[in-house]
Parts: sequence; C-alpha cells; structure tokens
Amino acid sequence: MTNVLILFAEDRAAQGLAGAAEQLGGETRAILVDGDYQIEETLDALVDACRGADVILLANDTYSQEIAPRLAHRLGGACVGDGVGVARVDGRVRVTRQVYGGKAHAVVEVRRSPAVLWLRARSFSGGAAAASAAELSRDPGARSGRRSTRIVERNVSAQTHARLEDAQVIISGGRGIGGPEGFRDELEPLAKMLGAQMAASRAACDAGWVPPTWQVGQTGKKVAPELYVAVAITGASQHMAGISEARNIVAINIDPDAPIFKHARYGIVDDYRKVVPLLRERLTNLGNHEGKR
Amino acid sequence: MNIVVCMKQILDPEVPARDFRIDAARREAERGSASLVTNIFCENALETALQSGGNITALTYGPESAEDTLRKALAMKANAAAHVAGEGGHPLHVAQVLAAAIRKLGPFDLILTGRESGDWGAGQTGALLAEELGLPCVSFADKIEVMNDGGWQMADGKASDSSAIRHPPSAIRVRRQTDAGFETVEAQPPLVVTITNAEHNVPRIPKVRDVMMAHKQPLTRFTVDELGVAPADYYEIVELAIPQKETRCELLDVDGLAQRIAEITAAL
Repeated sequence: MTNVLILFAEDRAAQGLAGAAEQLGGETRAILVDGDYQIEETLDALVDACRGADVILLANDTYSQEIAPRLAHRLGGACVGDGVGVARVDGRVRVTRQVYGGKAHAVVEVRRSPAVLWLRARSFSGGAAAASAAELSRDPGARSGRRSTRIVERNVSAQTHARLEDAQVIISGGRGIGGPEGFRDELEPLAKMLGAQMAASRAACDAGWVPPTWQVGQTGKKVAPELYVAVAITGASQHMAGISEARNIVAINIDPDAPIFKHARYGIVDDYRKVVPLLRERLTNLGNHEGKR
Repeated sequence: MNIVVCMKQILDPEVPARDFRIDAARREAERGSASLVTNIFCENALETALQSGGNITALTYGPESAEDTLRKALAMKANAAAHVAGEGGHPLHVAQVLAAAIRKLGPFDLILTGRESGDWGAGQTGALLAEELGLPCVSFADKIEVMNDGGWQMADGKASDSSAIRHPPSAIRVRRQTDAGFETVEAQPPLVVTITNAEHNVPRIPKVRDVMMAHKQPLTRFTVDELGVAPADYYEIVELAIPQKETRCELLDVDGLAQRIAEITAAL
C-alpha cells in the first residue's frame, strides 16, 4: 500500500496529512508543488507523479480542492472531499465528512482505486511528516494536445496576515454587525488586542462589508482555533459547518434564541455595540494587572 | 457565445436543524415539510452567465420537481432549458449524465456549474464534467469577461438584454477566489467554470410577467437511458447520522467573559 501526500507548501497541513496517512497504514511519500501553479500543467504533472499510489491525500486549500476530483478521474479512482476522519475497513478506504450544511455527517466508502481525498488537515493529529517532500517535476512541453488556461495575475488580499485555517484566535462578525464600520471600529481593535485573525459569516461577505477571503462556513474557510468569538452571528448550520473543530466558541448576540448559543461554551445576550467596547476595556485592565504580577 | 448552466434542485438548506430528519436506512434526508429550492451557487452561476451575455441554456438532472428550477431559470431570462429525468447518483454519474446531455445540446463555449451543492456538498460536478468532456476547468470563479473583436467586454449586467455577443469569443478571462485573495485566469473557449458567490453575482429576482411567461416555454427532455449513461462504481454512502451535541452555554457578564477569554488566550 502506498500513500502519496500532495502539498501546496504548507507545514501545518503536512503534519495533518501525515497523521491521516498513518491511520490508513502503508508507506508514505510526499510531493511538494512549489513555484508557479498553473491548473492544467500542474494536474498533468501530478497524474504522472501519482501513478501506482492507492491513496492520495491533499489538504483543504483551494488548489487541492480543484485538483483532487480531476486527479481521481485521470487515474481511474474516486475522490472524496472535506474529510474529517479516515479509516481502512476490510481493505476499503472510508471517509467521514459533514453533509447537509453540517446538520448530518456521512461515512463514504470509496469503490475505486486510487482514493483521492482532500481533508481538513487540522482535524487530524499530526503524524511524523515524511522525511522530505520531493518537489514536483514538470515537463511543460510534454502534452501539447490539451487546451490550457493561464493564471495571469495573483492578488493577495492586504488584510491577510496568516492563513485563517491556522489561526489560534478568531474574531468573527455576522449580519448583525450592520456594516463595515462595526468591523473596523469595534471588532478589529478587539482582534488586535488578542492577536486574533478576523473572519465573517457569508452574509457579511456577500454584503461587501468585508473581503470574501474572510468567509467562514460550509462554503468558506473551515477553521479550528482555540477560541472563536462569534459576534452578531446567528449560527446557521452552514456557518457552524466551518467552525465545528473550534475548541471554545464564544457568542455575543442580542437574540437569546439565536442557534449560536446551542454551540457556544460562553455567551452574552446583549447588543455587541455595548458589549465589545466594555470587553476591550476589561481585557486591557486584566492585561495590565497580569503585567504587574 | 453559447453558454450552458448546470443547475440542481435541493432540499432547502435553510431548514432549521431542529426540523431536519434523516432516513438512516436509505441514507438520505427526509423531505418533511421543507421546500425544494435551486442550489444557490447554481443561481450565482446563472446570474454570472446572464451578466456575460450570450445564448444561455439551463440544464438540470433531477426528478420531476426539478422542472421548477428550470422554470425559474427561464424567468430569470435563460433562453432555453433542458431536463434530464432521473434521480440520485454519485458525482461521477451526475457528471456523465450532464456530459451526455451537453454533447446533444451543444456546442457550447462556456459550461458553468455551481462550486458545490448545499445538500451533499461534494463539490465535484464541475471538475468531473470537465474531465468527461476533455476540457480545462477554472474553479471558484465570481466574474467572467469575454474578449470580442479585440477588446475585453466587462460583465455589466446589461448584456443579457442585447445580443451584443453573438460570436464565439476569442478568449475568456475569469476572476476566481483563492485562499489569499483572487486570481485572474485567461483561457480559450470551450471550458468549464465553477462559480462561487460574490457581492456582484447575487441572483436577480425575476419579474412577475417573466415568471408567467416561463411556464409557457418548451423544455427539451431526456431520460438517462436515452442518453446511454450506464451506472459506474465511484463511492457509496455507508452511514448517515445526525451528530449529538452536548454543549451547554454558560451565560456570563462582561467581567466573566473577559476573565475566560484571558484564561484561554494565556494558555496558548
């Protein structure tokens, strides 16, 4: 049995994927896709590099998500995405994943080989990463038959400090924030104090208040912080699907019946405009106090 | 320019968790009192197509009820609609059915799908469809521009009323969302593009008159057998369950919450 890990240059993902590979058993090697990612060329090269593998594991970045089903198809295998658990049962690969916007979970059994899986890498306890990842070798001229595409411009959002998926503390705002000002004047100062990353619900992103890269949820980023502070977020299951791996959820919401309180460990029922400034003040005082001790 | 938009009818994802039931033996959700809706990303895809201009065909694979999805697409001003009658199946089967229908309906310059569906959320239809058709694929796009007669034409939401873009475009430029921001991708048609949501592709609300007109328009109808698609192995759902969560929320005042947050962050 051979496992191949495909990495798009992310250390944390590598450990999670290595952990998943250990659960499946067998020998593991890793391929690092570095440099100029181009969809069709990278896919062609990966098809060649992955021949003979039984299981191919990818993380949950956008490149992995778009490559995985196509890689499976070219190799005659099957793809399962967004896995949070893997197992081998009677020789077959099984993947646990959320469905119906996080309202249910399913166990999916792969019926072709290779199994090409993209996983929420942070959901897996780290394994001993393969000693060294071999860099993907490319031969751009090798296949001229197929039409291609070209990524001609890459724009990295200025607000992105580190990957949201790797954040330990996240401050997130929803529809109830009411506009970009609430994010800028109330939530961002709080995030700064805590060294936290900013995030948002789909409603806030769709409204254009914050960049789409902030979106957390079923169709946004899947995060796994130690602390997730959900401010004015109702907590629809589609949002919860993105934070199911968060260790501590704090909810600040004016509506006591908001579903978010069913998932939160700590909560305050009140207007965030009142709570957040006070919270910043108290945290500053606590910080000063700690400092003196 | 000819565009086909693949659309799926699903159980309303907004159904609250307390009303959500599953049939564990059949391993699918129970319909219950929930309504059926068009998957939102499929509507984002149709909206993106309408803004790009051209001749648009809406295509769905699904049971009889899925006709509603096509009627709504026509009301939003898709030019034609096609229904492949059938139900269920894994992503490879769905892609093979859609590919067979597209071969009969085409040729198309642009094939659009939603990035994923709000029910199973496998997120594979567009990618596998591209492989079935031997075409390139660009994923997570939120904007499409076409190169026509030497210039890029911005999607401005007006093009659908005019027939400004009649000819196959010489190139297509796609803006797509990535983890860190966005990328611009250039390609020659034909190609497959999967669409995600953005502030500028929120689906339009059809006019009442167009809704009524949509019910009179003819549909092209196929069955899976007519298309000659045989079942294939891919994967099986072997278990479906609703997770039991036992979180009890402790309601605090601001002092209490500040204390807890300080404790959690101090331990990092």
